[in-house]
Amino acid sequence: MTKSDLFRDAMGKIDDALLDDALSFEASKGERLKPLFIALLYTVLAALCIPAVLLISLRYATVPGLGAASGISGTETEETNRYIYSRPDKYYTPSVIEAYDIDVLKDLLPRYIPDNYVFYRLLTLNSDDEDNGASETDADPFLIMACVYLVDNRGGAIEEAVKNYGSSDFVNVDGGANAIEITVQKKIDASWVPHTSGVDYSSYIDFGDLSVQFIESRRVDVDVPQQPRTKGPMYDIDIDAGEYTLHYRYAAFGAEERLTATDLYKMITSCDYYKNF
Amino acid sequence: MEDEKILQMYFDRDERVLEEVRKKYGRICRTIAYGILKNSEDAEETVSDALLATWYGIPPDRPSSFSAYLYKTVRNKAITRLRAELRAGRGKANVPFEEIESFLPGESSVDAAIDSTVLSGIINTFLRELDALPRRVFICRYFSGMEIKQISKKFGISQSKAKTLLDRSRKALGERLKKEGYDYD
Repeated sequence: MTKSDLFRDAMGKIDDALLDDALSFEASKGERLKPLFIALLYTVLAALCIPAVLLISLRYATVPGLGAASGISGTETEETNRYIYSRPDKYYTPSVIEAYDIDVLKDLLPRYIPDNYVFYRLLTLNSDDEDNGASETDADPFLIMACVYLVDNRGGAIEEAVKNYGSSDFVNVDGGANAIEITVQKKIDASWVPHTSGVDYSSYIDFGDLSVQFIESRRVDVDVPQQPRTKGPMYDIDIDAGEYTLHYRYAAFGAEERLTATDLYKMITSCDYYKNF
Repeated sequence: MEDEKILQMYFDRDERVLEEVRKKYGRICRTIAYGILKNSEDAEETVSDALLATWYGIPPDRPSSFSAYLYKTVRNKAITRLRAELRAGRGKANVPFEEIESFLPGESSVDAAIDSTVLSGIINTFLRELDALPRRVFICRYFSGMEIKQISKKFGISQSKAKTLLDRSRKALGERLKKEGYDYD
């Protein structure tokens, strides 16, 4: 006889009252459904908590290069991230976000900043500039990105930028340890630019210890009688790495806006060229 | 129908009592038989056999608890049937009784002369000391061979809780048997 046989026989002799109590017992309907309710509760909690954790993770995530490398971090970065991640269109794919990574940007800048791209973009700006003013979308995205890039890499990167910009028929770049000057001066064929007889651009980027100034001024002579502007808007963009604010001033209208990093990226990513990129 | 009235019908030899009993206790009886045999048809036949056995047993028997009397009768019939099935090379050994074997002290084979009544006495004492829920779960598992799923449903607890309760009870019983000197060595 095995132990289990013995145990089985012994269990067959247990007290009647105990047996009756156990076998006759039936949990109430509520008690029987309790495990189901608990499982349902856990499911609901999981359904609520998992997205919440993901959202919180995204909220505090740092876009590579935009945060630590750019000096734009903390609240501004979070806002920027939120903005970027809240746009599920193709312009905010990971590859675009990665473009803010400083290493990617280093590769990107030499390809897109110099030469005809810059000028193409400026021409586009001008052609849209029917009221001789400028909207946020008028700013050239990659020039602004260049500013960010240079801010990110105060010091050594300036030389890199000088090398990247180089000199061409359209762009003249000169720089030293703490400053870089990009001058763009070219009479552009008016046929490229409707309603515009001439464009004069100059860009100047000045690097201080903690900030970069990007000043682009242009004078536009418009041959449309009802818009007799003699001076176009002046961009005075001051990116302060300490405060992470950007002043974007239209000298022509005397208006002044303070743009956050989020605004900056909204501006960048809303540009026509960027969308077609 | 009250058990007293059922017993009276037995004593009055009123055959309708079998239907009354089946109506009142049929489900539990089938659960017990199925727990041991793991076969619905065999379980159903076993319940019928058990009801017939009660018909011939009462009288002269007059159980103080008819329900317990009926449960034990069903169980005994089921075990008898299980043994016959096993001898014939059919059926399979009952898991609940095997799972407790490792918690019982002593060798795997024991002398048949050892009186299970003594062991039963210890188990009864042990069960009386247990809280209601673990006691009921233990009895459902090891008296009627109920599945964990059935137990959890019956008592409104999760399956993991049922397993935990059983595991604790088995260990406690093993300790108790050792303490009582109930060792087969």
